[in-house]
Amino acid sequence: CWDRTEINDIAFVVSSAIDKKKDQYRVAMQIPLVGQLGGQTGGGGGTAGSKTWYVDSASGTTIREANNKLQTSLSRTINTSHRRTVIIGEDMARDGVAPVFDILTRNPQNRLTALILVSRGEARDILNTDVQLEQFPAEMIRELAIIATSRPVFLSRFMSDLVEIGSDPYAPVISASKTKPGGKGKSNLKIDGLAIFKKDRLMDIFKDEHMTAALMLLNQARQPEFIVDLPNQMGQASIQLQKSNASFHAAEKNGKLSMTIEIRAKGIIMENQSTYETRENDQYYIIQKALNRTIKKDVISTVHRLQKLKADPAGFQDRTIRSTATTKNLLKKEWEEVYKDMEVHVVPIVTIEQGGVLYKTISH
Amino acid sequence: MDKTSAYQGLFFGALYTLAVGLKHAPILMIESAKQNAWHSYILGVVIVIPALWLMHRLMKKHQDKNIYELLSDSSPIAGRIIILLFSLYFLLINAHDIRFFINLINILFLPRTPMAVLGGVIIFVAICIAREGKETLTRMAQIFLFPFGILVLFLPFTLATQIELQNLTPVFEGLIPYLQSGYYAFGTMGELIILPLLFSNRSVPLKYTIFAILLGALLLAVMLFSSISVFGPNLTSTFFDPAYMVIRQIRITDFLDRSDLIIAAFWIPVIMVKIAGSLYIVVYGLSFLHSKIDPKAMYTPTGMFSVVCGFWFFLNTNQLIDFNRIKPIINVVISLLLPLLIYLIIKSKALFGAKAKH
Repeated sequence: CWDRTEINDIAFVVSSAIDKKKDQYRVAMQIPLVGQLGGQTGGGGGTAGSKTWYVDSASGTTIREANNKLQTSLSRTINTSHRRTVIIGEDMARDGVAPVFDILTRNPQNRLTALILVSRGEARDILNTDVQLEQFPAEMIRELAIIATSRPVFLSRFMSDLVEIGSDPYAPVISASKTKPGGKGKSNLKIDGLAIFKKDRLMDIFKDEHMTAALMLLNQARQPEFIVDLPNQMGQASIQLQKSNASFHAAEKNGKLSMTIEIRAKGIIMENQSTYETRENDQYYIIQKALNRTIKKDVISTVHRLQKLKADPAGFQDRTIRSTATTKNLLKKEWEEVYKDMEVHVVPIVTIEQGGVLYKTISH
Repeated sequence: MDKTSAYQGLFFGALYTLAVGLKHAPILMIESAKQNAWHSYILGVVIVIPALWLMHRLMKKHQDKNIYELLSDSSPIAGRIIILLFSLYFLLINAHDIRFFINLINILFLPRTPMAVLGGVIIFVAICIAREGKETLTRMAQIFLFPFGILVLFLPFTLATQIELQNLTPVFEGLIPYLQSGYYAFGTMGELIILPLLFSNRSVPLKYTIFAILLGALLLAVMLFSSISVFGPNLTSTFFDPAYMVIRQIRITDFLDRSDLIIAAFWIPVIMVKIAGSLYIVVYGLSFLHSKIDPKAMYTPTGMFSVVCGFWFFLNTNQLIDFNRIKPIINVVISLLLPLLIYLIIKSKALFGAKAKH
């Protein structure tokens, strides 16, 4: 009797956005308007207007205070048990995300299977973006977050990386964009990079080839694609890796850490804009070699960038601690020093398995 | 003679260790042995088996009598004191379990319902079950442990995409933390001493008692394995309820991610059977203390007293977890020293009794 609540007295939050402005947390929530979701004949449920969703925000010195302020302007009780995504604003992420996790975990309504994303700019703006393909932005955000990585970055995964020694967290980055239909574009959302954290602070956002290589290092790349410049200026080929696996071997050389990264993958030629003939074995292998070279170059440059940031999402420290080929002296040193001087060796073992249904290259 | 089958005894034993054991002791185990906590249940099992073997050795000559019956036959005074000690132990366990169950419902499902109401409802159901006797108890254990156990065994498969085996390495990092974790595991496994106290060797032979402890330990280990491999040891030990948190991680498809409610629906009757089982053994023990004690009349006051003890002994959730720090020490007395003492008492009585006859 005490806990009885009518379903139409509950506001189900599907997505939250958290920003930090000076010393205040600003929390925004998106609530679907159930009455508007059933099409033209819908209605009822006490909702009005044309939009299928409702966003409101409030600020407070703690996240809970902001939530409570939001509740005062809602006729329904906030319920977060169906929240699928949590977006952290870029500024807040750079300032440190640790304060967010207490409330996201402590309340039993909250689920650690909610997906975490970092927004370019303010997180609230993401929730307010009209999307074209889904009924409300939270659903678009959820779908984008799921396809951004091969295994979704749930709050639990992010927190585990944050709490465990030896690896730093990461999360997909989302931003608002415009469609380009020719004429006046409409608002949309897109995945716009990979947020790299050091402990709980956002250090950088990786895009393009660094994002792809970082995801491969994390074993999180979902069919990564490489546009390979082929030798002798003969054109380019697009190759998609069906499944890639990065394995690490940490060893000690002259008192320094040496990390060998072996990348195994199988690829498919998706497009061949070059004059290389895929039917000819020797030319086929030229494309394969070029692909391996490109992967090696991209991975090395990504690891160097991570070293400069002192961020370790791939868990090099964890591999070093677990390695039997390192001495206690190396482990005693400050990790940042060891990481800075770490030598990287990339061994790509990538084969091209097939070229689709074309047996020969269509000649230019 | 009770009509409990060996399998029912096995299920009751496994249920008794699993129902509440999966909740708080694992936190302490992970704090000690980190990623190795899940297999340190082996230590808990190894410590308890000799005590169980000793009890069954005593019951071998009197196939139809359990330890309480043997004790009251062979030594009325010392036997009653030991039975009283066991009864106090199971009263304490029951007080903890009732308080834990109230908290579980309060935190997860019914936050605004007064705790006294929750406690009243829980103990009403427990009294109803316990009054029906141990056959009902063991049959309920058989019914409810089966689906819950299957769900636990399938947990690693349903969480396969989130499991990081790396979280479980390195294996065997340090002996002392591992022993410490085994010590906390013993706090859970030691409760299995309930089986020889309730069931004769004929109804639940030693083999089935050992299977019970192994099944209980296996299910607990699978649960802890899943928690550590999904969250990592450090994050797991920050949760008040790692088992429930890991169940909430199950996502079968994008829109089928509330399987935790189904699992909780199977778990709650399992806890209920354990509470009823503890209540039954407390009253059963009391019935040996004086011939005029009518067990049927004792269930309600004992049950109510257990609820009161639950609120009296455990003021908050921290104390519920802290109880698991001292429980292994209590278990050393109850699950190891008392069986040894019982063995000595009954054997010496038998020896002196035989000599007197000659």
